[in-house]
Amino acid sequence: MSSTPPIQAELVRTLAQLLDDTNLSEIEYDTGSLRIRVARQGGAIHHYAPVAPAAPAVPAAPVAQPAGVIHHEDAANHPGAVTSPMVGVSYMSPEPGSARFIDVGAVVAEGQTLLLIEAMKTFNPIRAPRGGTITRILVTDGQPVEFGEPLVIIE
Amino acid sequence: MTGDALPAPWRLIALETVGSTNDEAKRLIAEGRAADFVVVSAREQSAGRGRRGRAWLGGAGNLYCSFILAVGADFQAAAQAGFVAAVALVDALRGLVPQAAIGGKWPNDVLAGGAKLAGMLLEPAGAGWLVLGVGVNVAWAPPAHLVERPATSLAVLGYDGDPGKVLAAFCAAFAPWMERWRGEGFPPVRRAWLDRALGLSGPVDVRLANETLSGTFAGIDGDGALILDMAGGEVRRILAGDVFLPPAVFRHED
Repeated sequence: MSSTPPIQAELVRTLAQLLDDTNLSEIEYDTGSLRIRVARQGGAIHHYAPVAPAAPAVPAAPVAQPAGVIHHEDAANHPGAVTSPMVGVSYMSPEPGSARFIDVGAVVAEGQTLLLIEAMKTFNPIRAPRGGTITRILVTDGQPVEFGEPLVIIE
Repeated sequence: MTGDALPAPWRLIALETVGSTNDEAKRLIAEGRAADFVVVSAREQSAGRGRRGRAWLGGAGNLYCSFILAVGADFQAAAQAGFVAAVALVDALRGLVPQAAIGGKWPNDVLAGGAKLAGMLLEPAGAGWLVLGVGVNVAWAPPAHLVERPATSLAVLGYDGDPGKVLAAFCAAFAPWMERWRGEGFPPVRRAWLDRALGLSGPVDVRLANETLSGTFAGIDGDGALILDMAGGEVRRILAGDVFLPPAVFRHED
């Protein structure tokens, strides 16, 4: 299926322990193919997905994103980033069990629905501000999202 | 639906059978025919929806309607409109069946005696429009084996009017609350909704997409998010989920 590596739980735990031992607020670990950052934010420890390589030439099965992955900070500044206009919860399909709006590698047209964000039973379709290829999807189904958080990158 | 005229500023488009009134309203918007305070109603819906693809049964006798409202570009404001409508709907339905114990369940359901009486589904559409769909069980409620939680109807509660009269009563209550929300913002709506809320300060379960949380329903914040006080002092801000109130809430309400 995808080339996404499994979460390196032991490595994250080791880094988190190191964070506690050293009282640092943040540690980044980079092997070139894998990059993990653990940071202290209000007591929570986050881990980051490795930077995705360029979009695969042939889109295959949906790329599984490990639960709990949050966006890479650089994504917010990416020129192709589509950011959230609201706080809410993201959904990748119109309803549970139905086909996803998009997958990595999909070509989308301007105005096409990329995902839904729900807040208080208001379902906001998030539309592509421009046409292009989806190179990254930074949110998962049922994930809380903040205002301005990058959702998808279109290149 | 009978021809009860709606009080200003509402303009009614009454249809016979549609897929869903939300879809009809969105079609009006897509065709450039939308206007603030247009109401689309239908006698029957063949493909009514609830939250996350759940079906909403659409046989004749109940109220199916969608309101087109100008909300501007503020996505967060659109979500507040559900509370505006819920406050007005609670008041309108209490007026129709004063003997019933009617209140609001977060975010915008209306319950009577613990059973669902009305629900809403909100969909922003086009540039600055909100479609606010409302279903009210007037003549009948879906049978227990078809719904996850009990439902009731105005008829069960002793009301013998038709959906058109319910819509007129709702519109009469909704217009002044819309005006107030637009003039004063969310604070008075938030207070009014909390005054009508079921289960406030009591135990509640909230089912999210991937987990279920238990805690105390502490209120709603300035966006309308549910504030859940959990064991160990953790406070969660819930933006989307299904709220389950314990049966005890309803035994104490009258």
